[in-house]
Amino acid sequence: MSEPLSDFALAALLASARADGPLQPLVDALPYARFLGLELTRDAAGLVTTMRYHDDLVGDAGLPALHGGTLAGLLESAALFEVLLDPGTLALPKTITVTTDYLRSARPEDTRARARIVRRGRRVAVIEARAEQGEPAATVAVAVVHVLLAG
Amino acid sequence: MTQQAERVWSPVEVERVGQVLRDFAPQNRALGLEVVRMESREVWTKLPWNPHLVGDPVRGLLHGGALATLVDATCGLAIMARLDRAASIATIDLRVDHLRAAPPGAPVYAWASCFRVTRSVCFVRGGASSVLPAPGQTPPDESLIVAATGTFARKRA
Repeated sequence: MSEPLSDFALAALLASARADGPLQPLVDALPYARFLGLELTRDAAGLVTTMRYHDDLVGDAGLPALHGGTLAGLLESAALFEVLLDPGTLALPKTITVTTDYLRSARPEDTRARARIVRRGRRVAVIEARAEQGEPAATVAVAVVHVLLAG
Repeated sequence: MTQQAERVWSPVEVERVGQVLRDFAPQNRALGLEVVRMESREVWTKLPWNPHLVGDPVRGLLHGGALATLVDATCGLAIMARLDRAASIATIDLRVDHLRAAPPGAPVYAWASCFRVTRSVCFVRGGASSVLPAPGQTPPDESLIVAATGTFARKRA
């Protein structure tokens, strides 16, 4: 495709990110993450995936509100980043199911997501992710993501 | 709620609905979403191939988020088809099962069917396929990419 990435290049990005190196090169290697405008950072509580607001994310111009699909994409991405940076992950996991619950309409502004690995088995990992906006933070959507681990 | 009379939208109407869908939702426009077929019981849309939507650059595969957006928009369209009018709706929950990877470099077709409407909630099922079946036909199992189920809230006008 347009920007193929070798397993070797991905492994190098993962090694650098896990060694407290910059995280954004990993995000920028994924075209859809750039399409959404994702930024990956780390704070005391762990990884934070931020979807920077831009007009193309809107799904309801009347309200306006972010498209539900972009929130599902953000939550799935946050879940995948959590698994990718977990030691022992060698390749991009494959998503099996994503179940997203929408709690309130997402305003046209930045959205932050955090994820937590609930269980990591030999083949399948279960991750929960939460997306929030504003200060104080209000949760706009949550998701449970099942992924197939390579191996 | 009484069953609506069956309606099949004409190609001109389908094209107009597609424009409304893209005008109403800039994200639908960014994806290049098209409406292909619209009937009371089932709607079909098309997501053209776009390399910016790749989530797995090693294998060149679409990201699940792009497919979720496609399915979410298609479910919303199915509700409008069932109600036979523009409706203000919000997604309550959406489950997307990824049955197989979408073939790289090719469009994805999505369908949805709203099978239950109450005063406040609509229940929808749908999916995505690598082929567009003939009208009245279902896509072959081996072409299925996504299976989805969603519930949507109808907002008071």
